[in-house]
Order: sequence, then structure tokens, then C-alpha cells
Amino acid sequence: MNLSMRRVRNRLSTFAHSPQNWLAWIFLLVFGYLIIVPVGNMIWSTFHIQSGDARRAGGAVGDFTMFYWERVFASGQLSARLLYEPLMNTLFVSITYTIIAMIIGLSLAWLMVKTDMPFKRFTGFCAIVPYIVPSWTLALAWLTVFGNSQVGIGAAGVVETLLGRPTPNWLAYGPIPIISVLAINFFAFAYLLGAAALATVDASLEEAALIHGASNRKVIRKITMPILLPAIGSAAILTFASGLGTFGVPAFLGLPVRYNVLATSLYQSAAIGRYGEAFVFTMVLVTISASAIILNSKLIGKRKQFTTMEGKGSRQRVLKLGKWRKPVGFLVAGVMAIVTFMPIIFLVLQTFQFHLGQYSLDNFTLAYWIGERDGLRGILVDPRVRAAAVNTLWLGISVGLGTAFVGILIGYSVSRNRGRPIAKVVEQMSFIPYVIPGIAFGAIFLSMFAQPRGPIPVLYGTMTIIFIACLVNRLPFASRMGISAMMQVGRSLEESAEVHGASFPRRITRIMFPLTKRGFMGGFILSFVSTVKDINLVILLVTPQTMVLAALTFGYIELGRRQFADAIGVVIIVLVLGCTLIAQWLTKTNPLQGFGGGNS
Amino acid sequence: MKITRNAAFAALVVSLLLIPALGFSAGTAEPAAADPLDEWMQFAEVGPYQPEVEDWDAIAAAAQEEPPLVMYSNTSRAFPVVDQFNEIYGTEVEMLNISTSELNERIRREYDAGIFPSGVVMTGNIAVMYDQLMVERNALTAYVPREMQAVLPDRDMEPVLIHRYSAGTWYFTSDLPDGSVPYENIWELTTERFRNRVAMQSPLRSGTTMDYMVGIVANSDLMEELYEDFFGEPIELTTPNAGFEWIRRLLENDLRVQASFRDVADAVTNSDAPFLGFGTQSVYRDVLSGQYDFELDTDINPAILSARPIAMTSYTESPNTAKLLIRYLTSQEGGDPWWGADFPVNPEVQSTGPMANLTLDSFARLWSIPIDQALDLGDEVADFWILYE
Amino acid sequence: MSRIILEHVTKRFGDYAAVNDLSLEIESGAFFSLLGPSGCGKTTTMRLIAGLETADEGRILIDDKVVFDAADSTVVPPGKRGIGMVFQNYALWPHMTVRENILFGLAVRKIEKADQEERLRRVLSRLQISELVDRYPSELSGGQQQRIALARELVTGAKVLLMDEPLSNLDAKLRIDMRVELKQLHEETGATVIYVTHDQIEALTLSSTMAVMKLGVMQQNAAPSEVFAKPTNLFVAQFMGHTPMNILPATIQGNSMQIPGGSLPRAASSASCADGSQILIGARPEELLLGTTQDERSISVRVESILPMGYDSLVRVSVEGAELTIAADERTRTVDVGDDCFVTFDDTQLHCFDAETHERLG
Repeated sequence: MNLSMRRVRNRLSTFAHSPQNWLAWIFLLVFGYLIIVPVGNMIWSTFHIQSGDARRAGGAVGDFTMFYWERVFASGQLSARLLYEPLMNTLFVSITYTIIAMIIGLSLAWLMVKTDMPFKRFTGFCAIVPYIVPSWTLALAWLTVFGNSQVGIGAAGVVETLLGRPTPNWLAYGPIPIISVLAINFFAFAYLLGAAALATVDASLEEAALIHGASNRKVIRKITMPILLPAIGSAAILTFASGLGTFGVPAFLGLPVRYNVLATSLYQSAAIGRYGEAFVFTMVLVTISASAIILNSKLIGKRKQFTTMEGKGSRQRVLKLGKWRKPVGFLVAGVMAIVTFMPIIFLVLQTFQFHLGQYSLDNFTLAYWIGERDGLRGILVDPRVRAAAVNTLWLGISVGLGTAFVGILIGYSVSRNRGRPIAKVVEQMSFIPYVIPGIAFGAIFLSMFAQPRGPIPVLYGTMTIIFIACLVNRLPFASRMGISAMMQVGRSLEESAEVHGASFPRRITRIMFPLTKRGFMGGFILSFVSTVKDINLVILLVTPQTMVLAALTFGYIELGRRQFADAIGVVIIVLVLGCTLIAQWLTKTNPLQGFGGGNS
Repeated sequence: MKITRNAAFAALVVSLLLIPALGFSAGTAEPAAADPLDEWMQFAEVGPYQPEVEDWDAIAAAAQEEPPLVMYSNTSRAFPVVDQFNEIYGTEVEMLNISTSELNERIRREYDAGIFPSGVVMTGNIAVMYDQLMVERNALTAYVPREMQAVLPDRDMEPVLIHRYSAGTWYFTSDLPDGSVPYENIWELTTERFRNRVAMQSPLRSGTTMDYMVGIVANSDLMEELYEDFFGEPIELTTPNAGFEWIRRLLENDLRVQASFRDVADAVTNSDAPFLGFGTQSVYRDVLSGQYDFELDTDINPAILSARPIAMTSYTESPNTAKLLIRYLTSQEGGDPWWGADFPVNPEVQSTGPMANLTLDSFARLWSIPIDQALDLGDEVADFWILYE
Repeated sequence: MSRIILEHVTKRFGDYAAVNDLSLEIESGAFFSLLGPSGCGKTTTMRLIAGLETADEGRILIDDKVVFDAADSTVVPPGKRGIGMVFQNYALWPHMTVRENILFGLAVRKIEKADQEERLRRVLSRLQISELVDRYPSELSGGQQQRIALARELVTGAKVLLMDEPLSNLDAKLRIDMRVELKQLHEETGATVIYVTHDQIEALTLSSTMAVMKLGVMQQNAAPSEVFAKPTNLFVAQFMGHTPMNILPATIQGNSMQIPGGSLPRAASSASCADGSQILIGARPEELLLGTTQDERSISVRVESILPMGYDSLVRVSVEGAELTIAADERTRTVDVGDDCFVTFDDTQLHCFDAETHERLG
């Protein structure tokens, strides 16, 4: 065998023995196929006449056209209505709720991690619930409380019933309710990220400043905050980006008063089959998210967020609240309890109302649970709902496991390839889905896999395509979770196993996985939760055999039978809360703490 | 050195992947030259190959051997019918309940992809369905059982079989002592008295509302006349015609735009008089059952005739099941959930319950929009709506 | 046997060569130390031998088997190189008990259960840690963790042991105990040990051979005594020893050398230098004598500061702008800060270096 042959053979063998390398290449290929190609396809679509548009675009289907871009950007008053007003609304709403969610979330994180406030367990549990609950159920709950008889279906909310006069429109609909609901929905996100970041600030750093005579306040401002800044910045960006593509909340709270955001514009275009425009809106959304994230990395990217904690935990300095301890604890726990349980209670109440918004005993009905209305059977006795529940569980569990597993593998290959360009490319590619709204994602995947592609058969109509779409959609989360979990596991822990000759699967299962178990569990649960409650992503992909609960809900809402939707919402809430608690009990870990990964 | 090599390779791989992906959407996958549609029609015995006399026992027997069929329907009322059908014929029909626009989208993509999971389609918007699914591509095939062909007028089966009609009309709560219609003229809805007291679905979401708006625009001469009748002076236009003018003023009168027809009905029921909603007459059944509380306007404002078509999916592997299902859905028994609410086309079918007293003739002025007109004006109305909403 | 050979090994990180054209032969059974300041490439060298990094050029042989060869891209994975490695932070798996940690390698090698238990028992009793067997690493002290890490590598019977600053996380007292222990273990097992450290005392006390590295380049590879007695260049000379070697410029003049503050008889190692040439001479603080009497080997200096260190004191003196540090016996010291006195050189022990290349002369 000559030298070059030997070299090739040896290279291949070396490659096979460097899982971090081949994993990175696999991810590069898979991401290229599942992210870059669909996005490219979507961009292509915006320049070509789509089905049903031949008449208004003036040409044949498939012809090159600037029609969609012109229409959205340069059609005077029409563009203002289609794009510019929703754009301004989107920015206003997103920035405002992000600021509010960050303030609440970080304050809570600080109280929970850095003070001796009582009732932490209870408060911590409450804080996470609004994040677990689907945001559209919060929007519905808002309407049950603040809804008025002037707009929408004219069902009076609790407040109107109590006061005896209509609540003002600005409180019932439009930007203020949207911002409030999204802030309630997302503050837990900021809280989780903030608490995880705070836990990494070692007490000695703060003590060093105290010795120099700095006050507690100054320590927070000058030491704790700057160290946390990267985490805070990225939490803010992620919160901002998550809400950009939320459809449910602005749809329920904005559309009745014609307050449009980009997500609702996009959805409305897609819903009436105007995909050309819908994809242009998607591009606008993607551009905003992408700019925000680039800006973020420019601003604070130089300071590295990750500190390796080779197996050692950090020590926390706890601020004694003294005589304020009890009052603060009560206040925080009380507010959290109200925010958490009130919407659920009203939601449950509403499922028993024959007519919406009528709070009287003779309006009580079990029709939506075990009876029948308008030919629709109560959700507990409808076999279709049962089948959808099975599908939902299957999907949630497999996507949860998949996300956690893929996340660990991404984390592995990226952290072990740190500093090499391929690690950066893989990391950045895995982040792309974050900036694509779920509804657009569904449409893109439908067009991609409704036909055979090379070795991949037609996936449309199978759970597989829904699974893949959800998984890819969750990739940014998976990779963040995996990378941060992996960065916290010292590299030498794996290397010492490698020196002992442990194979890659063995290292993963015996060393890396047990050490990142909490990150894995946290990733699994959060992924499960968001999969189970997601509507936007799956709505275009489901078929009768592959129906899931959340998509069923949407059908009920479209039919105007909000009580069925509420009932399923309640079921979903019970499901996700129950699963979270069970998983917590099973693994004896707190998935909320495990969110940051780590093995301290 | 290593860095640039890796980066270059990555770029190469990604661009190689992109090429076929971009190529595919260039054209829709037209069936090959051998005209498979014709082949399929022969196999399915539809179109030119439909036998002069259909042997329904044979069709029912054949249906039992066929793969399961999925019906796409924009109405949830079909759920119990499908279960009944399966019980009678021993078939495995399932149903997917999705909105009209999603249904169009889905059939289109499935056809372009060359897969045909559905067998029968019941939908709400005949114009878009005809344009995109029967003209732009042969995704749907019209099918009318022979015995119905003998008795139906052309308008009920050309270009596709109509399952039933409904009428888009106004319903109202009245503050008048005798409960009569609280307005005399359609322009009255644009006055201060009805500010924020009119509810309807967006024409962008509802085919019936869109048909109505197209009707308003198409009948702009009449709208102009009605304006003069009501205000006693000729209309001053700020928009292309009196129809558009009415839409604009209606929107500017704080029109309540609702997500679904039930939301409209709820809004009318929940409000104090006078209050108006627009929807189909089928809601009347729920009024009589006591679920809603309002009256139907059959006299003053024009109503719109809305056709609900039913068709077979081209290339379905279960044509016999599809035929059987279409026949069943148009029968007295199979269409039962609708016959108490909508108007059957099948002359052998009787409306049931309270609907027996309400017919299409009950409406004093009933517009019917030809498909071409609906398509031509539809986009214009949609843009106009977006502009002034 | 377990001889390790590195031939022209180069490892680059970007443009920076962490290890530059390194050739090295480590005899079987040797206790070989890699010594140098941080960033000198010693850890990288060890990781290249372990296979945790892949070199860009050169060849590495362990036990006469090629484990790395850039020419035909041979890379044997770490697990197949027959090595054991003790990490600086011990890398004990925190989720496994001591037993599981130690048995992990044996399980990977598919050793029989009974044999595993026997080996475990032996290594535990040898290292006197039997009572820790069911504890988790987090329940152990630093010294105990160190022993477990050692046990984990010893139990496999690896013929090559790599240790990356294994004692650097221990306190001073424990470090001395462990040094003795390591030396005994090396003698008992007969394994080839490669030991990375920045602590020269460890290197000097433990090694049979040692190499000093600087910026990826090996400076000297010899027995510890030789490295100490005959540093191959100025860097090694200054790096070795408690306190850095005193360096003074000298000019050769006939049979004497002119240095600041006077002249000395010409050192034997400067034989090859031409008359009038400039060289650098070096003397360790311990090789200088402080006194009140002058002779031909001494120069006059002034005492600037005194740092008492128990038996010895470090006396800092100045002469004509140059400074010297002298280790003086505290019991016989007579001078004090501000005194004028004399420093006597031992011309047989003087180290001479080329002024330009800093290489050792003679």
C-alpha cells in the first residue's frame, strides 16, 4: 500500500475516532438540509408567482416577480396597512414587554438566589407556571377578566360584571393587554436564565468588593450586574425574539380592535393562502430578530458568558432581609400565586359556562366536558380528542428526548471544537430557527417534505414530519442548553475516560450524560412543555391521524366554541404541570434549576 | 490553512444542497405525458368514463375493498355522518375538519407533491376552489351521481356538484316594539345609530362575507340608488364606486370584525338592541332551539347565495368509497345535519324541522355571484378591506 | 519495553507553535519530567503523547509502536496507546463512587469481575485508601482525591503514566509526602512516568531525566543533577534554583575577567574566548561567599537589603549599578544593611555564557 493510500485510510480512521469532528460535520449537513435549504426555498418563493396569484400578480404561476415585495414595501397606503403599522406595533409591543419581563424576572431571580426571602419553593413553582401555560390561554383568561361588551363577542368579563359598567377598550384589547400577557408569559424565562446566571457569581467576587468598602447596593451595581450582563443581555434578546413570532396573544387581544402585529399580518396572509406576502413578512421578522441577535453579540459578545466550573459549585452570598424578610416573602408569593392561579381558575370556570361571560348557576353546563354541543362531543368523551391526546404525548416525549439528546451532542461537538470555525458555524446554524416564526416554519416544512427528497420518502401525513419540524424548531434551545451544560463539565473528565479506552458511546452514556443529567432533564421538560402547547408550528402539518391537542383547540376557536378550547387548554395545563412534577419526582432534580445544566 | 479549507468545504456542501432544493419549486409537478388523469378517470369510472347506469351495490362492494379514505371538510357537522356511513357500508372513512383556506392550501400542495391522501372534499368557497384546484391544476374532479344528473339544474352541478346552499344574511336584535327589522335601508348601517353595533367576519376569512362584499361592489348601481333613497341626495364618491363607499363607511363606523360566525352570533345575542350581525341563515336553527336570541332579516337588506361544493380528489385510490360517500352526503339521511339549517340542492331531499318554513324564496333579494366575477372582484375587495380596516 | 520517542514533533494552534520541532527519547522505566514556565508547551507535549491532541508534524512512538505519524496520518486513539493519565484537577467523575471510578478502566478493558475486585483491593491497600471505597469524590479531601486519581491509573497496570501537575492543587506538607509516595510507586511499578510540572523541586527530586522547555522549544534534556550543574543556556540557568542565578557582564582580559567592581581570574570554561571578548558569567547565590576580607576572587559591595529565611538569609548587594543576591549562613553572618563588604567568587564553579546567543561556554 502506498503512502497516499495509507494516509487516506489513516485519516478516515482518525476521523471515525473523533466524534466531535464527525458530529460537527453531520450537524452541518443536517442543519443545511433542514434549515438553510427551507429558508432558501422560502426566499425563492417571494420572487415567484405563487399558486392562486396569477390573476393579481399578472403572469403565470412560477414566473419571476417583484409583486410581493412591491406590494408589501412600496404600495403607499396599502403597504402602511400591511407592513409599516404592524411593524411599528411589533417593535413597540416586543420592546415593552421584554423590558417588563426582564425587570420582573431578574428581580425575582435576585430575590430567590441572593436573599433569605421565605417561601422560595412555592414562589419558584408559581413563577414557572405562566411560562408553562400556553400563552393563548393567558390571553383568553385576560378576556374573561377584563373583556368588555363593547368589542369582540361582547361577553362581559369579571371586572365589568363587578363594576356594572364596561371596562375601557384600552384595558380589554390592544397593546396594553398584549404587553401585559406576554410579560406574564415570558418573565419566567428571564427569571430562569437570570437565576442560573446568578448562581454562577461566586460570593468571593462580591466579598472582595465589600472589603473595599462598597455598599450592598454598589456591589450589585458594580460587581454582580456587570458580571451578569452577558447573561442578562442574551436573556433579553431571547425574550424579545421569542415574542416576535407569537401569534395567539395578539390575535385574541389585538385583532378585535384591529391592532395588528407582524405575526398576525403574516398569519392572516398565510391563512388566506397568500403565501407570497406571508413569506415577505417572515423575512421582515427574520431580519429584525437576526439584527437584534447580531447587535447583542456585537455589544457583549467579547466577554465570555461561560465560566468552567470543574466539578466545583460556587458559593452564594445571601443578603439578609431582616425585618423585611416575612413581608417581602408574603408579597412576592402572593403576587405570584395570583398571577399563576387566577387565569387558570377563570379558564376552568369558563368551561362550565353554556354562554360565555354569564356568571349564573343556570348557565352552568358540563356539555363541553362530557356532553355535546352543536354536534361536537365533550372533550372527555370524544374519541378524536383521545387519539389527539395520545399523539400529543408521543410527540411531546419524543421531541423532548430528541431535543435534549441532540442538544447534548451539539454541545459536545461545539465545546470540544471550541475555537475552530466549524464549531462556530454549527452553533450559529442551530440558532437560525429562533428567528423563524412557527407558522412560517410549518409552511416551509410542508413544502419541503410533501414530496420525496432523495432518500427521504414523503413525510407529509406522518408523525415523523411533525417530530422533525418541532425538533428543528427547538434546536436553538437544544444547542444553548447542550453547549452550556457541556461547557460546565470539565473537558478532562471525558479525556480521562478516553485515555482508558472508553468508546464514544460509552463516554456519552457513562460520563457525559450522567454529568449533564440535570441539564438534560431540564431540556427535556421545557421542550416537552413547549411542544405540547404549540399551535402555530403544527397547524399546517397535522392530518386526522396525526392530530394533536393544541391544533384541535385551534379548530374549536375558529368555530367560535371557546369553551371547548378552554377545556383542552385546561387539559394541556394539567398535562404539562403534571409531567413537570412527575419528572421532578422521578429524577430527584429540580428541572428549573437544572435548566442551566451543570453538575454542582 | 486548515481554517480556510474547512470553511470552503462547508460552503461547498451547503451550496450543493441548495441547488436541488431551489430547483424544485420552479414548476408544479405536472403529471407525465401519458395523461395519467385520463387513466385514473378510466380506473375510477368518472368524467367521460362514468357509466350510464351506476350499479350502487357493486360500488358499495368495491368500496369495502378500497383503502381508507379521508374526507376534508370545512364543517364539523360531518363528523357524525362519517361514523354513520362507516357503520352502514363497512368502510374506513376518516374526516379532517379544517378551514376553507387551509383546505385549499393543503389539496394544492398535496397535488403538487403527487400525493393524494384525501378522497372527498367539502368546502365553503367555490370560486377559489374552482380557480386553484380545478383550473390551475386538476386536483379535484367533479362527480355527480347519474340519478342526480337527471334531476338537477345545470347551475347545481356545473362546474362542480353543489352539496347545499346557504344564504348570507343579516340577523338583528330589535328595539322596536313589534320586533321588526330596526332599519329600512342598508345605508342605515353606516349611520351613528349603528356605530360599533354591526358585527361580521372578515371577508378575508369568510367566503360568505367575501361573496357579500363582492355582491355589494358588483351591484354598485343599486347601492347608489339606495343611497339616494335614504339620504335624499346623490352620493359623493371618495372610492371607485358606491359599493366600495359603503364598505368604507361601514368599516369607519367601528364595525366589529369577529373571528368566527359563532362569535358574531354570540355578539348579537349578548348585546342590547339594536344590534346587527352578518352570517349565514343556518344559525337560525340555533335561534329556534333557544341557543341564540335574534331575528333573521329576509326582507330589507339583500342576502347572498353561497354555494357549498363537494368533489372527489383526483387520483384517489378509493373512487368507489368517494362516490358512495358523495351520494350519501347528498341524501336525506346522510345530509341530515345540514337539512335543518341549509338548503339542499337535491330535489328529493326535504328540509327538516324549522327550516321547512324557510326556503331560498323567502329572501326578498338574493344575490348570486358568478365564479368569474367573484375571482375578478375578490382580490380588489380584499385589498380595499386591508386598506380601510 | 515502554520507550517513548518523539521525532520532530510540531503542534500549532493557529500561527502559534505550542510545540516546535521537538525530538525526545524517554527510556523505558524512566521518571521523566517536563519542566518550564506556563505556556512553554509542556502540557501540550504530554497531551500529544496521550493522543488528546494531534500534532501537525513529526512522529511519536510508544513502546516502538508508531502512535502518531504525520507522514501517513497515523493517529492511534488515546485508549489504544496503553497509557494512564493523572490530570491536574484529578478528573474524578463526580457521579461515581471511588470504586466505580477505579473500576471504570477495567470494565472498559473487559477484565473479569473477580480479577477486578482483586486489583481494586490491592491498589486500595497499597495507597491506604480502602476505607474510602464507597464515597463520592465530593466527600474526599484534596489529598484523598489525588490518591484515587492515582489508583485509577495504577489499577490498569499501564506501562506509561502521564501526570499533569498532579501535586499542584495540594498544600505544601502534603505535596512533600506525595512526592515520596510517587517515587516509591515508580520504583515498585517500573512504569515509564512522564511528569509535567512547573515546580523544579519536584522535577529535581523525582526525575531520572528531565527536559526544560521554553516557548515550545526544548532547552535541555538531561539528568536533574546535570541540568542544575551545567545549565545549557542562560534561560535554564536562571529558571533552575531557588533564587535566580546572578548574571554579570564580563570582559576577557588575558588571564582575568573584568566585572563590575573588580576583576576575577579567568574561568576555565571561557577558554575558547578571544581576548577582549564580552561574555556573561553566572553564579548561584549559594555559590557566592560574603565576607569582610578581600582576596583576588572578591569584589567590594554594599549591602542593600537582607531577607532572613531561617538558616539562610538572602543578602542583596549592589556594585557599580549591578546587583547580586547571596545566600548567607545566618549563624555566621556579620554584615548588616548599609555595610560595605566583599563578595568572593568560586572561579571553578562559574557558569559562562555567550553574550549574544546566551549558550553555555565550555
